[in-house]
Amino acid sequence: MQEDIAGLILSGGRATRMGGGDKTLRPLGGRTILSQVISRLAPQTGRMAISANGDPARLAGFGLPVIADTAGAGPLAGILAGMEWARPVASHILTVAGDTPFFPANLCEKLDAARKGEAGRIAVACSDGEQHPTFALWPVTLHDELLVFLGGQHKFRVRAFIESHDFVEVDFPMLDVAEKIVDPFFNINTPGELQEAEAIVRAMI
Amino acid sequence: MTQRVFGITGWKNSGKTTLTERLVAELTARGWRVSTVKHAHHAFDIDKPGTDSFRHRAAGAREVAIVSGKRWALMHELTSEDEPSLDAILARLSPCDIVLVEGYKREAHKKIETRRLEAKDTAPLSANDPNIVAIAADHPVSGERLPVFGIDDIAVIADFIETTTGLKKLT
Repeated sequence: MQEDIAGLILSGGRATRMGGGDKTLRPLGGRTILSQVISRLAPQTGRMAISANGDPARLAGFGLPVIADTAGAGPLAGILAGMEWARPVASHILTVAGDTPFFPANLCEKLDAARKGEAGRIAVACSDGEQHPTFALWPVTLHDELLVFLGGQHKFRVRAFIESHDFVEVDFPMLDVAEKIVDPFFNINTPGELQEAEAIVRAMI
Repeated sequence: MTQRVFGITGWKNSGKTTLTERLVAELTARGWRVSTVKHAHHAFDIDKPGTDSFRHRAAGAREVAIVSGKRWALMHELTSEDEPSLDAILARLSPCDIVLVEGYKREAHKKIETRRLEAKDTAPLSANDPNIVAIAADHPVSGERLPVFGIDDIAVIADFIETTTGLKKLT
């Protein structure tokens, strides 16, 4: 367990393609998507928190701190608030997306190894030639720069912030689930994808 | 193979027994053979006055075995001996996949700490026990170094126990 790395579950999406509401609280495999994500993250980092806006009471049952941010500014605002939360106790935050239930069990370990001890370097996950900017290991020392970045005329693109800093991409292999190839960063945006995820969960058991 | 042991600890009325009960049901449903050990108060008794076995014991038997085709129990009277250690009790259990231990705050096995706002005491135990590896709470817990889970999120806690004890590896 990496005790100086805190885990942050980004759960702020508006789920427009799912008809609104909290996407991460939709059922998956007899529990919620968020519960599946917490299970994947817990063995990788010690402390964890959920980044979400609105009434925190709906998430209170997970036992984790719920961190609000400047709603409407996208995941970067959540990452900024997460850095503020983690700063007193951790050197890095590991972000994961709350709608992505099959991310690698060695995500933290591989990202941490890839920055090769460079304190200021961001390590970001990739698969199948694509970057997944919400799956990254962030030095909390970038807090102030991120604050300035969010105040500028950017479109709050996570990738834009990463690529304007020292960063390293880390490739993760596809999963083989019951002879089907599954991207470990497969995320649930539509009711159809939720059905697909349900089939994957069943095949994994 | 060494025995896999995982503990449930916490203050009185913090939800230990309910959590243990639900974990036994969840892990059993997942196909594991689960045994439990419960630390009780001083003079607990599983027998009651008037039964044949109670009369054997009251007459001075050191051990009384009561047996049927459905279950059996062995009662051992401690007279001048000390309470047996947890290890000694674990050694007496039949082979199984995992032993859940309720209570035994001071033993060195890995444990989850239960916290409920209604508990008798809410002072965290984790600060003084390096063997506490996670928290199960009925309220958001901040400032905790360890993984925190919802006390009702049984699947997550069972997953954590499976990975922590080596029952199962995450892929």
